[in-house]
Amino acid sequence: MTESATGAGTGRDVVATDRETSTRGDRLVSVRDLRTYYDERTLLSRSPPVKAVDGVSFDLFEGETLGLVGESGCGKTTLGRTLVGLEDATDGTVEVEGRDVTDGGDAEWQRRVGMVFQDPDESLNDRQTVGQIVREPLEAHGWPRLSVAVEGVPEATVSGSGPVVGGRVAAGGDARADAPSATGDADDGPDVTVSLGRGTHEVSVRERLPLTADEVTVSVDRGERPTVSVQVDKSVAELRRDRAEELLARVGLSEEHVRRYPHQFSGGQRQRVGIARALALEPDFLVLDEPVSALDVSVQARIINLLEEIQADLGLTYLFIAHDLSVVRHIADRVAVMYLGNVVELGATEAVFADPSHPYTLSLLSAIPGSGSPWDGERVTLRGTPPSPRDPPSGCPFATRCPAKIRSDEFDLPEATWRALDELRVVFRTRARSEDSLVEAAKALVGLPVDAEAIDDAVGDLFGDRELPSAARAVVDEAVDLAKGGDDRAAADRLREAFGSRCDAEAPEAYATGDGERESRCLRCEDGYRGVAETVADRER
Amino acid sequence: MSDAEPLLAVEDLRTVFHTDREEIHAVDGVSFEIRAGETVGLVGESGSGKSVTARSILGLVDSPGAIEEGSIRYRGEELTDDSWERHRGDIAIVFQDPGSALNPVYTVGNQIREALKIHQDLRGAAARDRAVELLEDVGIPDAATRVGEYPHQLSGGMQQRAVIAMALACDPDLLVCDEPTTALDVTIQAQILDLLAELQREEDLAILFITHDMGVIEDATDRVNVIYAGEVVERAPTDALFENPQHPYTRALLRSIPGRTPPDETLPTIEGEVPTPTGPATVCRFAPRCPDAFGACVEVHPDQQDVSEGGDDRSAACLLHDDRYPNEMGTGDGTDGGGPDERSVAAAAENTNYGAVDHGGAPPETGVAGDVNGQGAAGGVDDVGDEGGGEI
Repeated sequence: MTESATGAGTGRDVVATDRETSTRGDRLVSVRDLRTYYDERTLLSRSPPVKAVDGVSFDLFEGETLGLVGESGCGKTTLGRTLVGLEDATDGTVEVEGRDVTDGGDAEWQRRVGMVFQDPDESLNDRQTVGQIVREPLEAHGWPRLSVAVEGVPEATVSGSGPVVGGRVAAGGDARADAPSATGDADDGPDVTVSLGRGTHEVSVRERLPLTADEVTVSVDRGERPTVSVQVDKSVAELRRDRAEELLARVGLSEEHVRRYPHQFSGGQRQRVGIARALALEPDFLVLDEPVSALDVSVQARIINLLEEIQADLGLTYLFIAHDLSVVRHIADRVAVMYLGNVVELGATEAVFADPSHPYTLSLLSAIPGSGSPWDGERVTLRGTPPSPRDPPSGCPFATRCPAKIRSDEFDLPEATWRALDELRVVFRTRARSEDSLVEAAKALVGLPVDAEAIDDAVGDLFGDRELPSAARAVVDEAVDLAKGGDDRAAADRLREAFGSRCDAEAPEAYATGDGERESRCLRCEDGYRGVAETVADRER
Repeated sequence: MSDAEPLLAVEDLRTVFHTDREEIHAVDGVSFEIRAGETVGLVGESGSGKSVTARSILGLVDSPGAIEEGSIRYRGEELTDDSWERHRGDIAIVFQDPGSALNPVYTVGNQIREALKIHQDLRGAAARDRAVELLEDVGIPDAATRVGEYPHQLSGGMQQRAVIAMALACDPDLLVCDEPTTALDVTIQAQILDLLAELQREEDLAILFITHDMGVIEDATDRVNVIYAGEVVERAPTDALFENPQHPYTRALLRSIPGRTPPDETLPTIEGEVPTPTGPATVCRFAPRCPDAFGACVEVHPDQQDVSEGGDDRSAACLLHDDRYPNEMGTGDGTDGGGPDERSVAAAAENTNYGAVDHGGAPPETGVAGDVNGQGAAGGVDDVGDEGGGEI
């Protein structure tokens, strides 16, 4: 009994591993040190740029789903938009199969990538019918341009009319003469294949086209180099209409929906329309930006199932952007966790969720309410909010809120005091940011008194009855004086100098952790430091 | 559990909206109680009537809506138009979107002082000090500075804290929280949930927690009411509900949450949509979508049936638990099996008065909202038997 049970267990494990490795296809997209900044400098404001994406590198493999999670404002949407060419990268590269597509000018890449937006209310034009919405990308890209291959002879000339691309064809090749973009993926083969035999010819049409071999008329003018003329009996408009109907059927909508307007649909149905539109040009890669966040849970489940089904059928690669970790856990093979423009942890979803190696991932997981959460430890409630992406902290971006931050060796303080010091620094940083406003700047210029009482209040609130060693007390007093003098930034800097650690000084590189397939940008991954989970558990006690 | 008089007792509440085309029974016979110091959850999908319930309790239902029946008693006293005024400060509400709950042209301090003036008759320096105190209570650092800032200068989480501070300014006994964390990130949500729990401990506050998020309900509430199409279909202590849901809708809802299904399995779904109740309930409104429905479900309206186990007070409005209507499913606990004869259920449902919205514009079998106003009304009824075609 025991033996057979063990045997079965091992068998399952082997299968699981097989599945795991088989899902990893070839590398499709390589992102290297990508930065996207929003610079809004005007004559009147000198505010620094928003560093929405600030040095991100990762790979996407064919057929996988990479989940991208993080809180609002962390840059995940900007990253997705930069990948599809909707935003211009400030620096870094996006490569697809060795070609640089960073600047979004690559027509081939434009066809191969689709995007589904979060809010179908806003991403669908309410004055267009659903049919028009789905046809729009087809029209914009001049779909279809049918490529023709001729088999059975070494060389042929193809002449076509309507959607058919003409030109010279070498045996087995496509007619590509003056075709900047063909209809489908070149890897899927030509759209129309003509096999020339002795005195006969056979026509076949690629499966995913709304066209059958009967609807293609081919006449062959044989000679030394045969000329094949191909005529499609359907007009371009008919082909597009049929394609739109096919796409809507693919996402579970029916024929009679074609002439309706988006407002006549429920939220789930509208999102289906958005998915159909993204699939129009037979993409290989979809960026899904919070596709189910606006939906009720029962509707959400149906859209998730649909996305999984489409991916399996069409062999698509997904970048699935979401803030809901349960959804990402369900759908993603690998997950990238973003914080303040940086990917702080990346790895196989189950591994990352079971044993997060970055303190931010751990905090995010522990914040998921209810028993659906993968985390069974104590909840770690992060203090404060993420810093402004205009003014990210030096060193580790997460250092200001980190529950596992490495402490300075200079002081030996209880955890609560460390936290109070962290918080005081955040107070000064926040005040410093509001100094950028014109009124505050003017006040400082003319030397108006700063609200000293408010500062004393804040310090009293934080340190009330806490014992501080005299050295530490001296630094706090010094910082408070700086702040009362109107220089909050100097006050924050003083605290950082005295109480800061490596975390405040060094931006951590990506350390390989776990099985080597995972990476984490946390200094605690270095030898000699206690692990993140242990440290957090200890400090929260 | 205790015999003490509940702080708030809602009984058979019916709130109806009259429009040109139809009347919508948004809240249709909802009853629940809240005792001092406890958190009661109201959970359901959008359009289920949970927010209208909250607005009804606070007397915020405006024309074309009206409370047509039922009673809302605060400490035993019926809330009528007069007594509402008297208890204005006893019940406070926190809305979903802090951005729209705060007035952008006044500082946060101004808005809290306004509440303090009305409810506590505090003015001047006393009001200012109390406002700072309240902001500190809700965990806003550097409150003395923040009190002079405008809402746009605060982050979303800080704004929601400020809204809670405003609600606390009237020193309420009951806080109605309508999706208070839905617009917030998960780490900020955790902060707000911690804050609410802490305030409850300190001030002995009762909380009515309204949300669509089952995870939040599980963490934040003591008892929970599941609402579907204007009716409470199941009520139970929170732990018991999650451990062993008794109503088919609760079961289906819990199953469709991604975190509760292993990642490599397809998510179980509920076909169709929450119907818009356009008439009084005469049958079970969930029957057309219910995997366990049987003949009687489309003939009689289910009453709340006692499904208590071991003394925990709970009930479900489902005929599966009603001995008067035996069916081959037996006790009907949990199995997805067989299902009813869908055609007969659908045919019978056709004769009822809900889902009728659709017949105005759209062909009935599609489930597309035919409402010209673009409101998300959709007929779930007609979707039964339509194999995944025009659902959602």
